[in-house]
Amino acid sequence: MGHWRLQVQATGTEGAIDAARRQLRRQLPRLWDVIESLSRDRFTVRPLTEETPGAAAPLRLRSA
Amino acid sequence: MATVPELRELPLELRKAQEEIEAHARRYGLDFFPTIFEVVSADQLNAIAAYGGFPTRYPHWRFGMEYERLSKGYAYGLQKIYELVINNDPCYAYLLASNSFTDHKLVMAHVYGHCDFFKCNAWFSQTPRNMIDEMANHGNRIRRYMDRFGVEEVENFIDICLSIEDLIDIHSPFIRRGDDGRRTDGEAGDEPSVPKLKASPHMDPYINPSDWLEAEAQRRREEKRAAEGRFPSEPTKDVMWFLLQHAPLKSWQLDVLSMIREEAYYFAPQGQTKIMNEGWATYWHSTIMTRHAMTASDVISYADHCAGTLATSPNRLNPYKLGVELFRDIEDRWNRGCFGDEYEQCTDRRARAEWDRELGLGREKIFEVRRIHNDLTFIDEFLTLDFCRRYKLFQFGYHEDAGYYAIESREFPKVKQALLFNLTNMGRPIIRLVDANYKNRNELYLVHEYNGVELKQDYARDTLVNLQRLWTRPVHVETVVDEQPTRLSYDGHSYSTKVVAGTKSKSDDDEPAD
Repeated sequence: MGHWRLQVQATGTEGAIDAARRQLRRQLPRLWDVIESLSRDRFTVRPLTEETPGAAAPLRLRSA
Repeated sequence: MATVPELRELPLELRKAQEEIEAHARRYGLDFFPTIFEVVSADQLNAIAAYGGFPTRYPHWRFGMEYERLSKGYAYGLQKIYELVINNDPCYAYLLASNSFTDHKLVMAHVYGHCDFFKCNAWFSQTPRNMIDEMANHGNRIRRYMDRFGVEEVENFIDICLSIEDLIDIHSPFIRRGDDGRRTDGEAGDEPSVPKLKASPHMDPYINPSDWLEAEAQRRREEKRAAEGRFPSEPTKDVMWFLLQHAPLKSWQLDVLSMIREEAYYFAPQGQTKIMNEGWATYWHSTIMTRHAMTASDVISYADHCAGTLATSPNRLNPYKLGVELFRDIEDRWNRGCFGDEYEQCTDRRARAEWDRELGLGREKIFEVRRIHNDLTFIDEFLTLDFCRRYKLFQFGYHEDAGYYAIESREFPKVKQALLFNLTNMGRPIIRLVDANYKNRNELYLVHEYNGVELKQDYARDTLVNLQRLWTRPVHVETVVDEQPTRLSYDGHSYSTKVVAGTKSKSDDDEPAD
């Protein structure tokens, strides 16, 4: 079904997987049953760091 | 017209695809009759489609005309039939030989959706499942009559019967009517009884008060007396059935009329569930193809053909698109728990959009919907304001002054009302036979239930002429013409229209005010 990368807020791995499942279900409603049936080992959880792509500080608009 | 082919075994590649897709369909819980696929050429498919999907029908000119129409449409690139499937046990489905392998897989997945719908939807539950044999029998019987009485004689009679094939009661297979149209002479002395509610002796006088019981018995006696004077005792929509029971027809004519009626009832559920049936089949071909049956090389072809099937145009309702999107919407709502009082009373749009009770009931719900609904109840129950906004539905109409079609409204109630209106009685006028002995002269009196749309005058006239040929006595239909209650009549020689003062549906006193 391809790969999907999400950023979620959670206090641990288990919580992150649950939050990711919820977010995925919302984004891909037609795949509700597939997402629901995914085993936990199909998820890879990585803590967010400064080096994580896309995890940099929010861009700020520079005024001229 | 091309000949309809004998059944052949599928090529190995297609047989394997069928086995794979059938296994996926079963795994998802689809329940269908055994399904037999046959590969046919475009010409053969057009011939089968002209016969309404059946390999054998009775001979009639309109099948040839339909074949010409389909053939020309195909030759000019205007239309192409991808699939054809028959509600029968076993189900028969046809694959177009010139289709690509991707299309064959798509069609197979789509067909399994239809087959499940035929087997499990309640509105199909009363249809004969051996209709292929029945149709072949009808063909044999009519050919025999043609040999005996002449082709023209029989074909003309079929034309007459076909002109009234909409005058059936599509709910009658499910309802035992008080009067089935047969004349009953006895039972005149029987007193109508009033059933009492169950109650213990000391409560009985309160639950079944004697004065109420007496009043109800009196009301029923009067109703029965009034009914005894009427024939039929209750208005009936199944005019074909009434004619079968009472029209002075020869035995071969009765047989032909009964065959046309039987076929009309067989096809009626397909007209009642077009949006649901196509939506359901599209839902399943989409699910099976995108999750299992499609390979990388199929993607472009699949997407292209799906886009063609689901394309909407401003002036036509696409049943595939509306049906599948409604099923997906129901599934999503029931997965997230977007139903019930709490959700309905929530007015915060953001809260509604993010609503998620994590119920996961979507799949179960759509299977339930497929089991019990028809298009009318499907739209009535599940077409919501949110859905209407999301898909930008609108109501349109023809503006005579401007000479073109234009959007009339985007308001949800009007859009929904217009949709329901078109689906009621399959979009056909509702006409009831109210009196078969009008003015004690054995004349037929029908009433058109006017709901804002007038009968097409030329159609009404031709139908009356044909009805008179069957009944052999004058026939009348009460309708509304130019906003005035009008009676259209045909007495076997001349056709007339009269504005009527009182209506037969409301009053028995009905002398015309010319």
